[in-house]
Amino acid sequence: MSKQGRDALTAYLLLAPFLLLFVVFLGYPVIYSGWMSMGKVTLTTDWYRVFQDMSYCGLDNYRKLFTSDPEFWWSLLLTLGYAALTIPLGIGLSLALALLLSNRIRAVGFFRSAFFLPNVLDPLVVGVLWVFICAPQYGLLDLGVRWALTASHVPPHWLPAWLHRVMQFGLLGTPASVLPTIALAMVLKGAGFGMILFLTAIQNIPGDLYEAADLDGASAWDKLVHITLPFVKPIILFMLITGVTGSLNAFTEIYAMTGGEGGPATEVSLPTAQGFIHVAAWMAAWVAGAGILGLFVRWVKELTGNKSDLDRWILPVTMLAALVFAAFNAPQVGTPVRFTGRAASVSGFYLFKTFERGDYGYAAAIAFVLMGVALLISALNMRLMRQSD
Amino acid sequence: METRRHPLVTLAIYVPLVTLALLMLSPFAWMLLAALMKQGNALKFVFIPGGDASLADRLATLYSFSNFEAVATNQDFPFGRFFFNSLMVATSCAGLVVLICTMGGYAFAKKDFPGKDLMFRVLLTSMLVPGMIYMIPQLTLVIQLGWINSLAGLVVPHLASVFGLFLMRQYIETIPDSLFEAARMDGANELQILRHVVFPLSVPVMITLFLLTFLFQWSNFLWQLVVNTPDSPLRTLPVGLALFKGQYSTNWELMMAGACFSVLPIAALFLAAQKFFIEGLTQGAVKG
Repeated sequence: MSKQGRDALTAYLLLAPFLLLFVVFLGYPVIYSGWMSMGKVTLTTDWYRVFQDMSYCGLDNYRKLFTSDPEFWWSLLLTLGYAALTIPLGIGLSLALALLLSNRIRAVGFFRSAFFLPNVLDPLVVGVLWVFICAPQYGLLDLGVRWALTASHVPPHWLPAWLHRVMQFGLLGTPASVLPTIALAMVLKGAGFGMILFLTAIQNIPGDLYEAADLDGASAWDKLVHITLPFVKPIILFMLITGVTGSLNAFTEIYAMTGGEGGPATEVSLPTAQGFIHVAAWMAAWVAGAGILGLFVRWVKELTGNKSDLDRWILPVTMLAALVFAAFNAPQVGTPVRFTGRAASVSGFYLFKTFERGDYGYAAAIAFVLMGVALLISALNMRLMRQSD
Repeated sequence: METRRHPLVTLAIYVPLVTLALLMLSPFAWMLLAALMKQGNALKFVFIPGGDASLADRLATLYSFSNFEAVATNQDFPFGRFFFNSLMVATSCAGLVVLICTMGGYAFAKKDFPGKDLMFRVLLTSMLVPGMIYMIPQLTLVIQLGWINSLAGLVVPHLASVFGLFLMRQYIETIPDSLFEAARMDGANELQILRHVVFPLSVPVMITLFLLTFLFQWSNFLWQLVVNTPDSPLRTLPVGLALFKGQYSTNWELMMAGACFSVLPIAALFLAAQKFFIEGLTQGAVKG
């Protein structure tokens, strides 16, 4: 056998265990999942004859998902909120910590370990710990607040109603504060990871850049924005993408902090599909109109030679104003769908719930939709980041 | 260039650092202390009891290891057993992953073979797929193979770690080819090359991969929850803690003791091997 042939054979042999495991446990499941998402597979399906027992129903699961599952859309909305909280805060805190630690300080090692340690711990344990802290009546937070209130002698009837409610049910028991609390806990836990990444990137920035900037009389803010930030952008992109996939798949922390229930029950009312399309079209019309108006104004300004530095803000500001106006004045079309949902049931958790009650085919469909969303957002992110380079 | 830093700036750096460090660490310090307190005392927030007796005596009235004992030998929730199970799962998984990924990484790094590019791209894409998609079919597979409530079911599906493969590949690529040439000229066959060249030189990154996989498997709550029935003898720590919390939800001292079983070993492992954790992360994310 030729050397090349021998090389190839050895390579295959070396890779054989990995590839075998990959194909059996990763490759096959993806295909199988796709097939399952097109069938009705439930608890009663005989697992040993899944293919025969599964009743093929084409894209039924997907159709049901898009048209008659308001809980799913609610979970997507919650996921959006969760992502909006965890991603900016997470990136901001990680970056801030990295910047703080890249100065000359004593005990850098101690701080680095201290900040990274929570990241290493089990999300379930961290969740249980936070449940303890946020528990009403005897949790740390509650005791702290009550001590502060008694120490400052504020009479109880001065306090707003919501404070009483929160103190009665705890931060994790009030619908409005559950998700932000979970988000905060996760940000604090995960900041160390991003911090390490940022630190590495910052340490790779050549020092002479800063010296040159100093010579040119640059302020600290200038140095941050024009030197540090560009070097750190790939990390921000990485954290954006992992943040999005993380939010879409978030499960353990929700389970841990809500005792497996997904948060306190809350009344939810969402527009129906037609209602949603109607409102979206309404808002799009307003924004488009504002856009045209803005373009017209800019054109006129150019004609009359009345230019100013602020010109480039005309378009975005008018469109944003139109968006806000339209959002608040949107017409109500059709009766909204009302149901009792859970205040922290993000998409990953909702997927688990579907899985738990045995609706496996449907769960597979949800998983693929979520993956599609994740891929879409990641692609968008990469496009945006590349443009601004 | 030595510049004197304005004392206010120094303050502006240290104050947030210390506050944040306290904010992040105090819950765990609290957890440890609560676990050590005798039952019913955690919520009184008295850390050093007053009185006339000596300090040692006073502390002894409040703190003891009784919670740990109670939790480790509890009939329904034997945390000692959970700890052992978690240890077994995490260690065997990490060990096997390192073995398999080192072999595969060597193949990718130093060998040429038909289909190499395609395989690489497929593996890379697979990293984008969220875990939930695998879960259901993997569960079916595990059921069909009869691996429910078994070590195999807990460990085997996670052995094909693409991240591990790429990590090893990246590292092995930096081993100079001349070493391999020399070994081959000395008449070594592939197995010997693996044993004498690849493994010894890759020890640092192998340790990192071991630690990272260990960590991941230690806290892999979802899969361990799903593959074990509630009365399985192979329940691991996260699952055990979650179920324990369901039943003993008001006995905080016991719960914190249970949580400590999970936290303390990992914290100790981390502190002892920080360098490997941190380096492993930067290698994997910044370059990958």
